[in-house]
Amino acid sequence: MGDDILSLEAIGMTWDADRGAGRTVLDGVDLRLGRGEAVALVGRSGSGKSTLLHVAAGIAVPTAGRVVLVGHDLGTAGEEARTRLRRDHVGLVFQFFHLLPHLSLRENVALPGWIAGDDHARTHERADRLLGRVGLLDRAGDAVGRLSGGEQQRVALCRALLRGPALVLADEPTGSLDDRTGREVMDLLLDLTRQEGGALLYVTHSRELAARADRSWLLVDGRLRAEAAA
Amino acid sequence: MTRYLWRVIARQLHRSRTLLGLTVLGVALGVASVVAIQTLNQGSLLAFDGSVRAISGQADLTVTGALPTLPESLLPIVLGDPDVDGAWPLVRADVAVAGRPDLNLDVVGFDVFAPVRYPLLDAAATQQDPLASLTAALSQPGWVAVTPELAAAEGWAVGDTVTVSSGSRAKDLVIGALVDFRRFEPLAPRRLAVMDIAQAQESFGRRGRVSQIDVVLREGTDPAAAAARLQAALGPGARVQTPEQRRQDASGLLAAFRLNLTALSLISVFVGVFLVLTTVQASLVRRRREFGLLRSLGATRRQVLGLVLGEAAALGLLGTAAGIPLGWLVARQNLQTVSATLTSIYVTEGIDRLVLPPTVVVLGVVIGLVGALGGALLPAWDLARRDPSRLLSPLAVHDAAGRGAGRLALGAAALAGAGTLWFAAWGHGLRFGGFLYGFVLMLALPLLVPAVVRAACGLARPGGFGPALGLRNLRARLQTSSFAVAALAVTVSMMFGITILVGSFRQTLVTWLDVTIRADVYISSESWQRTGNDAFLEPDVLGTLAGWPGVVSLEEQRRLRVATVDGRPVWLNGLRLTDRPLPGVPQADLAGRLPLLAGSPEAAVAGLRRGGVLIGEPLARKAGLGVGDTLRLAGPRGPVALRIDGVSYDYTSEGGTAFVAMDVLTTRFDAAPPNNAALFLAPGSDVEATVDALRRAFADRPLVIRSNRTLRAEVLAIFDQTFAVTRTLQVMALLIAALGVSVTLLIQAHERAGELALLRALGASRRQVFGLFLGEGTAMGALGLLLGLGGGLGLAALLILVINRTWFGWTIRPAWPAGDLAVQAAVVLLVAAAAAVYPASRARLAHPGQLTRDDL
Amino acid sequence: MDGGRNGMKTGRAIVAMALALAAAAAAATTMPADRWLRAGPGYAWSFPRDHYAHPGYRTEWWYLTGHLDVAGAPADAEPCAFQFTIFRIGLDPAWDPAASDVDTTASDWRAANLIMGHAAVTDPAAGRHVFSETLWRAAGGLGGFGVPGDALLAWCLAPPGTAGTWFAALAGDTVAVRARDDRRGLAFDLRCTTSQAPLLQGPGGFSPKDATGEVGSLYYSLPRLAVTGTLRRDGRDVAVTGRAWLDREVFTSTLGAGQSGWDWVSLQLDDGRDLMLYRLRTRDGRVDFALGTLATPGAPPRALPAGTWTLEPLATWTSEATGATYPVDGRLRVPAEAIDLELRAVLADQENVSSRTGVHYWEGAVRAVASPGSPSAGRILGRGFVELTGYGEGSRPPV
Repeated sequence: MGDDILSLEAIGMTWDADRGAGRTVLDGVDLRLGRGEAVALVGRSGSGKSTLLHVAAGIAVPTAGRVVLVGHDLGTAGEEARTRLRRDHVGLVFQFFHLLPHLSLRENVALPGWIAGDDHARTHERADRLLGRVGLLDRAGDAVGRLSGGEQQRVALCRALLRGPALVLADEPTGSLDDRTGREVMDLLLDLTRQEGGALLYVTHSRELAARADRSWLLVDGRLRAEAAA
Repeated sequence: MTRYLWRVIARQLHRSRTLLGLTVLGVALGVASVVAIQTLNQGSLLAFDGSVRAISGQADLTVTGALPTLPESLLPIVLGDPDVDGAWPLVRADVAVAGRPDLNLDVVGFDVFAPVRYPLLDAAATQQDPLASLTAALSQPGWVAVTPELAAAEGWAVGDTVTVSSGSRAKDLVIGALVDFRRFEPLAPRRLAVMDIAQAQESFGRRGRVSQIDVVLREGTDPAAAAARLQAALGPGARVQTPEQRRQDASGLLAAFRLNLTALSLISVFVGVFLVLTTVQASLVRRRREFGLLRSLGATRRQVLGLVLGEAAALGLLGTAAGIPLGWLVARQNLQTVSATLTSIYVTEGIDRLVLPPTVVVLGVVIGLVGALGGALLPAWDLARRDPSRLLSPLAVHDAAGRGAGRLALGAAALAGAGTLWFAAWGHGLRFGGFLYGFVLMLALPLLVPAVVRAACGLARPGGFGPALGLRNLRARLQTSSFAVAALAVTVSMMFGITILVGSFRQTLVTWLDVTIRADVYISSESWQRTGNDAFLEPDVLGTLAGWPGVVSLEEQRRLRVATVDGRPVWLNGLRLTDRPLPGVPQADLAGRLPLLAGSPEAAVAGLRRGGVLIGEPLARKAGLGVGDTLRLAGPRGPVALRIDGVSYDYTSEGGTAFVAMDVLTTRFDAAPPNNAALFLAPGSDVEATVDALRRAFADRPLVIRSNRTLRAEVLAIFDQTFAVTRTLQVMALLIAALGVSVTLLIQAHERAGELALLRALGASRRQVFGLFLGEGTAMGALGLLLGLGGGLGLAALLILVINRTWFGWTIRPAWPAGDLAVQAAVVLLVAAAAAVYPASRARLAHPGQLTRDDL
Repeated sequence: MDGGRNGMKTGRAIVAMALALAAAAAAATTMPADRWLRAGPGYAWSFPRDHYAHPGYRTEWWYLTGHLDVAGAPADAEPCAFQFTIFRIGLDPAWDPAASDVDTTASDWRAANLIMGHAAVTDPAAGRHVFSETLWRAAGGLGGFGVPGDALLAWCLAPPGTAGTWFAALAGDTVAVRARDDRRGLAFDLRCTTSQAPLLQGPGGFSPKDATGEVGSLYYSLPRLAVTGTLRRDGRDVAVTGRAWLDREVFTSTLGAGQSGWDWVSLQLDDGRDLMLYRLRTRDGRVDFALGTLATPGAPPRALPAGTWTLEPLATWTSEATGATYPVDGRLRVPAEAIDLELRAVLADQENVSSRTGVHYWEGAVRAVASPGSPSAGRILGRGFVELTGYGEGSRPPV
């Protein structure tokens, strides 16, 4: 379906596939995300959640199946093209924030714009707008080192959303935050993504947080199962 | 612990082989530059020594003259001294070999029947006619013995004829024997050629005069006392010296030359220390948890310190092991030019054979070890003093970074200030003051680096994925990047300092040549090219030249090596002063050709006519003489006092030069033909055509005939050759600094793996990551350039105004060799960028999926 | 010791030079012997011309030996003895040493000859024999030879360490010689006057050295010169008088084929007769050739060919310095002339050892004592000199 932001079809991923008896991480995963949709992915650690996100972001190439991102088949795109697709259509949020310590809040947020070579003024304008939305605009020029974990993750959210990605991929976005902060960040993530018109695919081990998605899936031994309990 | 050390080293070697390889290479280059320079420096002295020992090895004393030659009639006086056991005269000549522009023979004419104390006939006793063998040397015209090495190199065999020349006299020599002097004196000059004294004197010398008399004293005689008595007996025209005194003379002549090269080579070591610092620091940062673990398992601080220093020592030794052979190669590569410089400027002994003296090997090892340990000491101490828990906790590289920058900059200011005060108050009066001051400045410069990098990079407002971001990254990694930038800054300081010095010197020289080189055609002889000064132009040559069509004036010049009464060597130049004005050739007017530093040209010329003297600037500075003072020279019959009527700029010799009227030279010193001649042609003459015609006319004479233009070009070529070895040193220092950039970025590629993965995850392409690193390398180059420019200006000022004046005594007008500097700046940037290529290509492989918890 | 120092210092280039010179020219026969004149019969003697050097021949010597009574010494004191020899060693007959006087560019160091001086003094009272030597190229202020008419026959610098010159000069019938070596304490300054005409040795003054008659020398002697002068003894120059014998030999080839050395005797007998004898030995010690001359006042000299005289060793002396064993004492018999004498060295050690050339020989003053069994057994009948060359391993004559 052409309207899908992300379409994963029969994704299989086997590490060391070329050596015969490889370890299968993903096995026949089918997943679609429509515009503005928020989908949660639940599973135990080692169940292949992060790999699935990497596949979705074009960071990892599946050993089987087809990934279509905003109408582009990642399977036929080279490394360079996948990087460009990721740059232009995907926002990433990590468990450990991964902010660059020597850059200010604003600069961290602006980084994807710099990478893409966007207009400088507009990038910063937008960064400031996003920081304002997460309540950190007054500290936009500060170094990120003194921010709390929650604040850091909010900056990371801004960074992910800077270029208005069609798809936001978040890997345990609250995993290193306490429950209260985690909920706040999750709220922001869902709200902002929605407001910016992006689809969201996030990984969590918390059923509570998973429940806030439009849909949630359980990943068990590399296979996707609908979260019946939801 | 030792076993652990070896295991660690082996593992480190394997894991970080590129990094360590680069560091070892850097240490090797630093050691190599010192080894190369010291080998060449020692080579120049050893060449002189070898020559003295080969020729005068048996002598306890040598008698030379106030003039380059002394009367042979002094020999019986020497022989009559009660403590003399033997004495023999030598006639020496530096002769040019026809058709071999670079080859001169050091001809030694000695009395084959001299009372050299060995059983003369014993060796020949087995011969049927022992005397006949000796008489061949006397009776066969041109009989000469040469070294087998030279014969092999030139393809000469016994019986071959070789045409040589001294001045305008050509002479056919016949190879009579091959004598392996090196079996007896390993450093004997290869170009030694020995003849009987009669033949040597007839062919190359002057009747009744010899170059020196070698003296053997009776066993148990005090050489100093004997020298003093002989000196008194022989009078002021002779100079009696021990071989050690002669060696000191030569060493004094070469002192400035050697010291400069040594100082330059030490800069390479200094730069190398930064490289070691960078690597060790990085290695320690990478392994701090390992050390933390060791500490928590009970290793003491000293053990940890020892472990780190042990590794550094191993690095240093590896670098030294590679550096010593490398230095040897570099020395060999530069042998030609250094030897040519020595022979064209300082002494007659060129270096034709290098040895690697054990002292230099020891020095190389010491430099390599001390440099490596010195580089490791600071980070190792820093590591050792931390408590284990902090080592085990996740590292925050950045919190410390830059905090010390301000303090270091203050330290730099204090150091430079103290150095300046010291220099202003005391240092400028010391002979080594300028060097020490320069060293202090070079020490202060690196301390300034973190602050400057921080400030400069702080200005960067990244507006995109470009250079500004790179600068910001450098600032973030201040501790590592500062080392590389400091190394570059010191290197660039040295490069720029020397380039400005050389450029200024060259410009000054060109201006000076414009003033002094005014004749149209210059004639000298093949053997005059070098420092030899008994190369004369015969009267028939001068007659032909004077009568040549179009020649308005023939100017004869004679140059004579003399010394002041207190032993300072002086090149005394005789000028033939013409009385008649030359219509149409105003450039022939002497007053217009005197580049005077003090005194007026008219007064100087009038003074010369009255028997006064003009002295060159180096002599004036070094001997503290000025206009109105008296120059006291040792003449053949006693001291000659000459009134100084002017001080002229002179760049022909760093020793003394003086100019007198030709009749003063001939009557008070030595009557001999001129060494060279200059022709002024009638206005409108075709100079090059005249030169061609003269060359055809003198085709069979060993003359060198050059136009004004060619002479100038050759003077400048010699000038450039003199600085060729400094260029090698510059390149070596730049290579080390470039290695610093590589190492720094390589470390960063490793340390910043997380950041790079993030950038890739955020959509940065591999090319962008590559570009980022390239940009960072270039940024380091630019920062080094910026700092080096300042340092270079300071060094240049020091070199031009202080060190040069003290050691060489020249006035050099500061000039701005913009073109050269621009080229070098571009080279520095290019080299820095090139040094970043490998690390960048490693960085670009960073995988976006590799982000882990500890990253960033 | 000097020799040790020598050895230490010889490892030097200049030495290499000399060795190579020797070796190099060994291959090339640059100096054929036939460029020199050969001494032969029929030489036209002319004096004083022939007192001077003979540049066309390769070698010649002025060989003066004598016995000197020290003024003020007891009458029965054993006289001192001296030897003064100047050797001329020609280097190249083609060179005219006077050429440099004409050619202004010629070097003063051009040498046609070497000049070698040997001087020795034997002081029997002190039991001392002192030898000194010089060796220079005859050029450049180091030495030279006079031409007929010059006052100097030959001169050269004293050995290093001693100022001044050694010389032999001629003034009328007087030959004046001087030698000095301050370091060895040797000095004499002597005037030797003859009243006789030169005594030509051998037929017409050609003295053959082997049976072929090809090898030989031009040879004359002034056998009985009256000497006055000074001699340095224990550091003081003392006046001396005495008697000397001058030998002059001029030749090109030293020894005949297979010959290794010679024994030579000169005797001045108290009865007025002068006796000169020589014999040449082969390497195995055999006498290869012998000849002598006996000059009796008022009578023509008589030749004493081999077979007319014998010289048998009585005592030998072995040198510590060189290891050579010399027959220093001998019994000389010339039956036809009723001569039967014992030649007894006044001192056993009268060996001359030349450090400059490596040569050693015995040149000693002897007393001629009547042999036991003869009517005046034990009486001193005259004095003379014995020269023994070619003794010891590798030894050869001085020139």
